[in-house]
Amino acid sequence: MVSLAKVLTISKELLTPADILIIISAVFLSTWLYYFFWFDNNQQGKADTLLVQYAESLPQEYPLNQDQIINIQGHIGPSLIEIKQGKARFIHSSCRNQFCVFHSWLSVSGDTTACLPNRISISLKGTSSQYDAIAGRQ
Amino acid sequence: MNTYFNYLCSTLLIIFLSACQSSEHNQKVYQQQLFTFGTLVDITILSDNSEQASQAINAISSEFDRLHSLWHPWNNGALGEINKNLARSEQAAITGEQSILRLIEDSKILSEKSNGLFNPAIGQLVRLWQFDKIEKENYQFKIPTSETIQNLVTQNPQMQDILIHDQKIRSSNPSVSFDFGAFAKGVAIENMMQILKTHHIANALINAGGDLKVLGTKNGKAWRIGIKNPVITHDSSRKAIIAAINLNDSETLFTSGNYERFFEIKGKRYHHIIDPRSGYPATGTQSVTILTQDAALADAASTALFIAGPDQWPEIAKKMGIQHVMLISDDNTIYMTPAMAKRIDLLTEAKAEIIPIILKQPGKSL
Amino acid sequence: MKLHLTTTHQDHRIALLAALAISIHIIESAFPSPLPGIKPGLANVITLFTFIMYGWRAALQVSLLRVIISSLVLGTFLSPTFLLSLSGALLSLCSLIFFQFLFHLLHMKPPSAIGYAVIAAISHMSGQFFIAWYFFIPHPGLFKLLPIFITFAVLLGIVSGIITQLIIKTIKSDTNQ
Repeated sequence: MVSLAKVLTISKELLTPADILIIISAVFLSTWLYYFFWFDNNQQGKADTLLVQYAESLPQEYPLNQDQIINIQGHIGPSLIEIKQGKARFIHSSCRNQFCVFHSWLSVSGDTTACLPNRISISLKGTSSQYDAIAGRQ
Repeated sequence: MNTYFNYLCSTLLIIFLSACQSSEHNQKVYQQQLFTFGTLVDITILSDNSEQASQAINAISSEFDRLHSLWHPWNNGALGEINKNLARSEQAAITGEQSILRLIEDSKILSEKSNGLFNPAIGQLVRLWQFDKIEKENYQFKIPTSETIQNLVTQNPQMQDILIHDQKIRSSNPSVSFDFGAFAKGVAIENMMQILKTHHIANALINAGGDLKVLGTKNGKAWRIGIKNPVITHDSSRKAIIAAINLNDSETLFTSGNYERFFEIKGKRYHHIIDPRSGYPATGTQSVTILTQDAALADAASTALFIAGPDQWPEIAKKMGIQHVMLISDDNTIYMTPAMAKRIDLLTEAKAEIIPIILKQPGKSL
Repeated sequence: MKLHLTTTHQDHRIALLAALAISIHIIESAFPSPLPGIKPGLANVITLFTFIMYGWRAALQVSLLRVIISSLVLGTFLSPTFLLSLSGALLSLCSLIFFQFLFHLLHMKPPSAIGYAVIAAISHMSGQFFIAWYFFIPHPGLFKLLPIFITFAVLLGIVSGIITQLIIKTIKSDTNQ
């Protein structure tokens, strides 16, 4: 068996402190790259709270882990909001077009939709929101 | 001994350098939601001064309200009056507000650059399709007859028919009626950026119904934006966010989609982006997303490229000077310029594939 | 007319080293790679050896000669592959110079061939990778491969560093005798 001491002596002969510093940094760099390109970027932001807001009043918070239907009075009538399996959506609103009802489930933190005529907006919030804003359809 | 001391020193230096980055001072985040300009506006401001932030938010809120009534094409605002006068073939005096003059002049240039695909002179066509009634309760939408559509298309209202002289605007074509629905939001966002700057706000994000512009950074980091899947579905297996992108100072992201305003008759959807060449809602595209620095240009260009469709968009993009484009066609193909492909992180594998359309990019040929 | 060219001892040395590097480069080009054009850069052993023994100027000459002549031999001159090896070679040499200077500033004992080889391998790989991404495959998904490439670069760097170190040791003990 090659003794550990012998390996250490050889490496001590071969390596300078600068070598050790470089190798340690290289290992850190590659570990960080794995984390950065494989794990950090690929998760869709997990949401845990639903914010329901009427006009410019303070938003009300609802936990997403509890399935329920929220009835909220808006500018022209009631709106029904459903929470199911960590997602949320409008299921009815007191407006003609029902654009908000057409809108699919909100599932990602930062995502927002609103019933404009009824002045009610719903959005998702998470502890670690991945996006500062959501572009495109609202 | 000496070498170990140096080793220690350099390690400390590295720790010190990395600590510098993380201990950077973080500004407070102020957020406000507004129902204005016919949409939901989200304002995010980073500041150390709550007074300063709330003043800026109030100024933005009232400016949005002011511009909305001023630029509304059918109400009794300044633009509404101009449209009424134009309809009576009268000279329309521009009343008090220089902003409408700018709106007309700027959109005239952009309309020409877009080969007339971005055409704010087709207000009558938009009305024919009853998109002025879209917010009305219980309105029964009808598909216009092909004769009436054809009639308006042959009259060919163009921005070039408009002459401005001595604060008065005149149209050589009686069918011209202004509708800045594809431009006003972009111009308004640029105005809001000016307001932010006069309130000494250096870092902010304004999101007006999914179209947004950023200022500065979010505590030293680029603003991270998720782009929504344009496909409306209640199927939860489909990804809600199809792409992510980092925006740097003064960058803006505008999207035109067939899902924004529409009505359905017998299961067929009629959306609000009217192709001025046919008079019917434009076909072939689901959404177009534009990244640039000028929100007004982005707004106009997203509409023009939407109408241009999967075949013609590269030509129009080139003419309008747009480098970053993502277009999703009706068959769910994602088209992108190479510049956009470099910036965007696609999060979808499904049916989407990237077909890079080569735009001539200065200094990047090989 | 007879053209007379005076060559120095240094010229001969560079020619010899370049010839060695070119041979390794050409042999290496026969191995497959998951990303076309990206190579582990075993020819760097020679560049590294030259850098440590004769300084950066000699190393620059050797690596330029290697990149240009091997591409002429392989028929890839001015092609994407050529650009990839050139960028890798130049970036790795720049990093070597930078780190040599940095350790000098820090008054530290310079790294052995192993430390230098790791630096050279990582920068060689990232240089190639960046050029490949920027000019040929401008897709962010490519970056998923970067950690794997860098891991291989570190491992290959250590291996080629040990080889270089052994060569240097042998040559030094030979000249001492």
